[in-house]
Amino acid sequence: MMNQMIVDRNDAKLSMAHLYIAFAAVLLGGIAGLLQTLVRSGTIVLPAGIGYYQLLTAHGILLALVFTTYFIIGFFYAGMSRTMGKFYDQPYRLGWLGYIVMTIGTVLTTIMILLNEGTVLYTFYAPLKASPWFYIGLTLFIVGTWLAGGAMCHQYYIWKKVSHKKISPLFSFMAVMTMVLWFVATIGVAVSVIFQFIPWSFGWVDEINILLSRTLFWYFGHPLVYFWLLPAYVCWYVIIPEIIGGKIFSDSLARLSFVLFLLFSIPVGFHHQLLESGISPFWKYLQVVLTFMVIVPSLMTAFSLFASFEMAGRKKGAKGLFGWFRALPWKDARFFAPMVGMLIFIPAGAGGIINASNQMNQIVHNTLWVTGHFHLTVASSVALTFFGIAYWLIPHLTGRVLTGKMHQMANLQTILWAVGMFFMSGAMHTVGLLGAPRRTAYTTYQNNPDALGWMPYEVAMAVGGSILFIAILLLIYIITDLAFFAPKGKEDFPIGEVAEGAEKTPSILENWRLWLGIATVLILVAYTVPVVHMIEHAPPGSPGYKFW
Amino acid sequence: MGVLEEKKETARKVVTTKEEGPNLKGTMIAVMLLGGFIVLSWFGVYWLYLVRL
Amino acid sequence: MHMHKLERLWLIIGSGALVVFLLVIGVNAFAMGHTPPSDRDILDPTQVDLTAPFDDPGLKKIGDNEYELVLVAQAFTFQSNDELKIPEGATVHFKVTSKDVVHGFQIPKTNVNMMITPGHVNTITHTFDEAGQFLILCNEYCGVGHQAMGVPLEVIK
Ligand code: HEM
Ligand SMILES: [Cu+2]
Ligand SMILES: [Cu+2]
Repeated sequence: MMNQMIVDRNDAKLSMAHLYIAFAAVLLGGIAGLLQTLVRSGTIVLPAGIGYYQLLTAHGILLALVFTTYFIIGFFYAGMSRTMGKFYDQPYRLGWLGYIVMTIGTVLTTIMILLNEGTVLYTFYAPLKASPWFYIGLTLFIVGTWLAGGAMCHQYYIWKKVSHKKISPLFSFMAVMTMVLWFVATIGVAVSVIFQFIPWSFGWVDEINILLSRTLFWYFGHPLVYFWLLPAYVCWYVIIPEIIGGKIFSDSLARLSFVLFLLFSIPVGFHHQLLESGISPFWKYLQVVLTFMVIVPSLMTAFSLFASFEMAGRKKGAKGLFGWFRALPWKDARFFAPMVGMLIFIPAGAGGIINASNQMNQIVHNTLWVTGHFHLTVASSVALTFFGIAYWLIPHLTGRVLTGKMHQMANLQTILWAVGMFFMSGAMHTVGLLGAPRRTAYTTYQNNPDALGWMPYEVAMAVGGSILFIAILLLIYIITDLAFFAPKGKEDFPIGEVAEGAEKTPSILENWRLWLGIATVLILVAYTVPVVHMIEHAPPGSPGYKFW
Repeated sequence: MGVLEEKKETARKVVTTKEEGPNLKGTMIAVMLLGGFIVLSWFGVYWLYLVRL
Repeated sequence: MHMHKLERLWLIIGSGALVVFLLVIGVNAFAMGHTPPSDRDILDPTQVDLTAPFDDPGLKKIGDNEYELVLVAQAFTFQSNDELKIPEGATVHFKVTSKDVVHGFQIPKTNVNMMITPGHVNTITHTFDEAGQFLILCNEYCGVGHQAMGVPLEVIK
């Protein structure tokens, strides 16, 4: 099979359709984010009618669901088309169908939030009860992503049959693995929404089993964060080596780390429920142990990335222990944005290990520390990597080029983001350790001295939030330019090659039945006993409440 | 050096480069610094947990 | 699968650190009795006012400077029939449930932090070694008044 150097024009349209929505969501979500920091610090009061929690619901959904998912799917279509060739008819049409279904769902849910019928935050914990249409919108969104995943799997399946190859291109393998992870993960939330939330919100049943709904949500909620992270890893493993003039350190180890993510990122949802009644400490701890297993592929990733940097640097003649670090192309926006994202992943990952550490979760649970944590993970490591991808992907798809001037603008964007996040996330981490809760509008708890002591940090958050907002405006300027105004030309779609001398990839890594089988066993081990207990020893369920 | 020995010598060299691979000392130090950061911050919060018990 | 020898070393050291973390928290949790709050008691969430001990929430002395503080979380307060004042050095067993939606239960500057899910009871114990003003607050979104859901707890000399 020939390596197609350019994404097919129709595939490019499908991909771009996703990217437009992704970046529109960033702009809207960013406005909400800025307002949140201003409200929390007591700087402004929202104009009549808009509620703080309504805004926060919009922020969570637009950024954590809409931006991430649309970007990921758009990026994967482009990369699969680039590495496997043009999408075949059937998967192509399925791709568009998925886009339409997802978008209907997104619009429906957004309308419900605007109507103040869905102010339940993006985690929609029962028994707060939104309009049924809020949940139906979410369901359509998920079904749309399934169709998208189906399109990718179908493309992969046809490619394998036609090409008679045992090993697929690394990019496509990783994309399919990410979508498979997504399938397995979303089953939990789909079951909960379809069988619990929708009948209950329509009033067909009176009560809902709270603990079960939360458990199904977090069965999905943790792999959700890996669904965000893995596409960034695709960029770090497959694309960055090419940009820095190096090679992929090891194809097999890259695939192995993705296999490990599939196995260990799902049976770990209890680390979000460590402080909850009704789950025994034994099962919590077991899932904590499994959570720690999923850190291992990230340790592998850290080594592989540094190794590909060092090898690239040494090849260019860099000397000494760290000469290679300086030899990296810091001025290249395609490298700089994801690299800053990678560096931010160091404190982000350290924070994650702390969060998951069983009883230590009592220090940080539902405090602003957690908000600070995921603004490093998803809102910096992942977001900056996605921005860095967009800088070459959008011109590649629209037949334009990323000019030197735009490289500079993009680098400024990255710096502003890092500085803004340093203030916002740094303040959130610190004040979180002091006990300030997340998800709260402006409050001093009747002038409680502890709560008053948190205010300077809230102000630092607002300063950081304002810098971030400027960065978002700059981002939208760059993206608009690249999509519509940049000079016509040919921008590369970088795909790395494997280092010479790296061993042949064993085909067991593409044995889907084996990995899905092991993943299922792990999920059953981690969840069967506690879930059976939750159902058998359930208290009477809860009616719904609309407290907003 | 005889031809045979020379052959042995090259064979040995190939084996060693394959086992040792490229020079990745800088990488090792970088990841160890990363690990050190993780360990320090973890014990920092664990200490906070203990004093607040 | 072939692996660079430094990478193997790094993975051994890294996983070793993870094992140490797990052992430290495992021993602290199971051998020293600090497992996270995981009460198994259940009740009917619509009948909280009729179910003991939540029919009379408040502070009960149960031993030498040892108290049980029963609270009912509801939008947007923590209900108690007694004033929340305890002497310095007291050990307090908090026992909390919710009458409506999910709430949080947190006391800044301490390790007291747990989820209050309707239909379930949750418990946590803390010894207040120093006198001072404390704040019990809800840290899970529960509605428009969520940011106002906090009550003071006084530890007196
Ligand atoms: C202009 C940039 C941003 C600002 C100023 C900002 C600000 C904030 C603030 C202040 C909160 C916490 C509010 C609270 O707990 O009361 C928050 C929550 C959140 N943010 Fe951001 N954020 C920004 C960008 C992002 C991005 C890019 C993402 C994801 C890709 C993101 C994802 C989230 C999520 C998931 C929440 C949690 C919502 C919830 O608790 O329900 N944010 N953001
Ligand atoms: Cu998680
Ligand atoms: Cu609340």
